[in-house]
Amino acid sequence: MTLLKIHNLKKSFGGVKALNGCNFNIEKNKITALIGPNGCGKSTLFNVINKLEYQESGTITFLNYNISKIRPYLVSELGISRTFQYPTLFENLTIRDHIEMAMFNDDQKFFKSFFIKLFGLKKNNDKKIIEILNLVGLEKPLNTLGSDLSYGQRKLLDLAIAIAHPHKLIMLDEPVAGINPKLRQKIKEILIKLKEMGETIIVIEHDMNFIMDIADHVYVMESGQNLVEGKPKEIQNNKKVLEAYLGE
Amino acid sequence: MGTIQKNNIIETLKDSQKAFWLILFVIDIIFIFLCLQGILNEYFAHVLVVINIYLILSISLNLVMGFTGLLNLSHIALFGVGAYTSALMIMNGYSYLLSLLLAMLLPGVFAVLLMFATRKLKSDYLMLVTFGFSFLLYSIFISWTSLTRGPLGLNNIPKISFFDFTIYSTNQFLVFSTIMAIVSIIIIYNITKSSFGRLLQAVRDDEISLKLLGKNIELIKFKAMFISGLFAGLAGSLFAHYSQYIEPNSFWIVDLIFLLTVLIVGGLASNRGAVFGVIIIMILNESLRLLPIPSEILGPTRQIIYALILILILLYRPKGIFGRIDLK
Ligand SMILES: Nc1ncnc2c1ncn2[C@@H]1O[C@H](COP(=O)(O)OP(=O)(O)O)[C@@H](O)[C@H]1O
Ligand SMILES: [Mg+2]
Repeated sequence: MTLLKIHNLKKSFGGVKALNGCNFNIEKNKITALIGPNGCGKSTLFNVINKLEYQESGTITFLNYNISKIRPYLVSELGISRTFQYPTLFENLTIRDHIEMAMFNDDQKFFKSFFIKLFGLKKNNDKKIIEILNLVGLEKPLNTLGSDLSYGQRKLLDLAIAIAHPHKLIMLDEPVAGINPKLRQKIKEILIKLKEMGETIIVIEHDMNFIMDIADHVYVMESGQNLVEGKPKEIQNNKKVLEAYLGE
Repeated sequence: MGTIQKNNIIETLKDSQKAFWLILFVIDIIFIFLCLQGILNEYFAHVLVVINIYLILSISLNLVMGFTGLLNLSHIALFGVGAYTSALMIMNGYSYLLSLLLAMLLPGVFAVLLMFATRKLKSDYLMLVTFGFSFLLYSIFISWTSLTRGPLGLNNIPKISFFDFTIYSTNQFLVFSTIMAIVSIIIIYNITKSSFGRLLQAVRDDEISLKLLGKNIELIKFKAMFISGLFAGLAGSLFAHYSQYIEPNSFWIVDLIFLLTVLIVGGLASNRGAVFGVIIIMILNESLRLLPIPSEILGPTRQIIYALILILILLYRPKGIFGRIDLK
């Protein structure tokens, strides 16, 4: 079943055609990888799906809703979680705060949130939070501030946030970029485990070797367009792909 | 971890947050007691009333400026809207409670409109627009003479009275304004410690990540501005009925600078800072009276001193005394 369908998407910045008519179908319960040389438009694609940017033309359909023109928080509410290539955390908030904000949305309700605080009715969510942190292997006290985390820990927390947020699709933007080989292996295992749990994942990755073991389907992009698609094995030996990568 | 009941004074004092509020509360009660007993004269009671009014202003401005990171420079203008609304309503025969209600709602609505006008723009524009709004309101207070009597101001504003009860003396007003200030502080303190308050801080730190968690940032900002505006209006109403005389110059940039100094000295995004800042700056302000400075140059001298304090804070303690975020 197709969860997310992207049709003929175009987006340019000044003269740069970051997306130039690309098409994708993201299947449920699968890991779809999106690879391609630097600057080929992968992150822009994510930004347009999340509505941090709006496309010039083309449509995006998620769960049969047309999400081409809606506001970013609605995309998120429909069930799309995402991580960033360079995760930005809330520096003054703790790990617990981050995960709770991702899990629940009633913090936006002023009166509810106020009276819960006033009468000390706040539920303890630590068990659920620790479960998610264990899943991604982030072993830090829950009251650690965002500003006290290393780059690798930030990547893991960002992943934990995406998992904690109620979702039907997780989009990961270069989850292992700038990460040491040991943690890289760990993240690979996490992604495989997530898939076993029935998650649908799109993962952007610059490094072809990383996705070969985990992806069910691979799209290769070049200059904002589809280059080829197929199973990892088919992609690995494709002449066009090798050219695109070597010609970088 | 559930909430652990603390029944030991020492334990409570160890927790510096609680100790701060407790000590402050006790000192406040002592001062009020001394005023009511006539041991401290009316001048002290007057200073305490002014402190109470500024406490409401500073803690509510801190909610949007410190916690939410919105550069709102309209707070004194909104304070003026509250003061004029409350005064004019009462002078036209409406009850105090109704006047107070409108004096709070109107600034709240104005604050939301200011936010609404700049919602699509970068955050710096809010600063420009709210600063412009301060000038606009000032000129309205001055030039809409049929309503505000212009530079002459409104005088003989009635005292507060509700349920057959009238607040006559400065001491009575001291008690009333203290209750209002404490209630305001408790409300805003609890907002900042609630999950909604956490969201406000997240808006300040990073809007993009927050959008992707499904939060409606615009709506959150509207709510913050509305709440802040309500309290600016409350302070305005208290001020109008306390001094019984208001004029456009009561709501001018000078007071805005005073308020900003208070927040910067106390420290943004800290309720303790917002409260402590008012007390420190007011004590300083009043001590200057004791110096042999001619009254004509007292005003300018104060402004020079505020400017010096601001420079010193920026140089040596950019987070203020209790603050958690850098001035930037
Ligand atoms: N906000 C932006 N403003 C201007 N140009 C941008 C912006 N975002 C991306 N680009 C440009 O669009 C192209 C695609 O970028 P990006 O999507 O980040 O590539 P990738 O993630 O595949 O490395 C690049 O040429 C980049 O410089
Ligand atoms: Mg990228």
